[in-house]
Amino acid sequence: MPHYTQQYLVNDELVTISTDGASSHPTASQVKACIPGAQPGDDLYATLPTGDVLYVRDNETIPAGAQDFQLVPKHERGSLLPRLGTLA
Amino acid sequence: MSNLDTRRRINRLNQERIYIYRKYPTVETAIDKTDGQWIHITHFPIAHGWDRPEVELLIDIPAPGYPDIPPQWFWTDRNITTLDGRNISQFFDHFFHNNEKYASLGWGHFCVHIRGSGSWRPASNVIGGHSLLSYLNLISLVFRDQKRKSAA
Repeated sequence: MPHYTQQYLVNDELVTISTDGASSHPTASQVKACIPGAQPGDDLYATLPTGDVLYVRDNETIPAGAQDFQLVPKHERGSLLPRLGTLA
Repeated sequence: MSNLDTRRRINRLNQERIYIYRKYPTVETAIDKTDGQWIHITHFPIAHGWDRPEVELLIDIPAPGYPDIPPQWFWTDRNITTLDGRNISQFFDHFFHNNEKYASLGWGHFCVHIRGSGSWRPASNVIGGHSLLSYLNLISLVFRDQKRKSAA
């Protein structure tokens, strides 16, 4: 079984993630397992090279090209937030 | 609110400031030393796309309750604009009961709620669970998320 080691930025800190399997990209769960203090239920968001931010489910592999991630508690936004791409 | 509860909260905030400085060595912080009801953070770095590389933050600390109860909102520079000069003041919550107090000081208000019971898991050891660092990660995400639709 192939073995992969990748480095990513998670919450602005460099993290090394090793995985075995068919894909060189880890799942969100595998990323979370490498983060000290990560809590069950935390959500992983990937920042794509385009600037888009994408939620990654636990069993999904992280999107190709994404190197920068935020691991955060489950949340919702009560007020509208500034989204640069869609501001009038 | 008991003095003991207040002292515990202030002690916790002071512990958390140490971890905030470790992760963000350029920020400066101040806390409410009387009641432990807020933390003020300057020079907080934000993602590319704004007219400034860093913002000021004022986070309301639930009192009593923190750290068992998570923060629910934060304040930031009301006059922040996008790199191409678009104003975002229309996105701030204008109906928050404390708006007058802080809005007059130039703050804009964002709600970012932790969703559902059990999603916020603090630990007595600051780095063993959720903390203000977790909430700062959320704020960082807010400033990164540039492409979501602005509809409610």
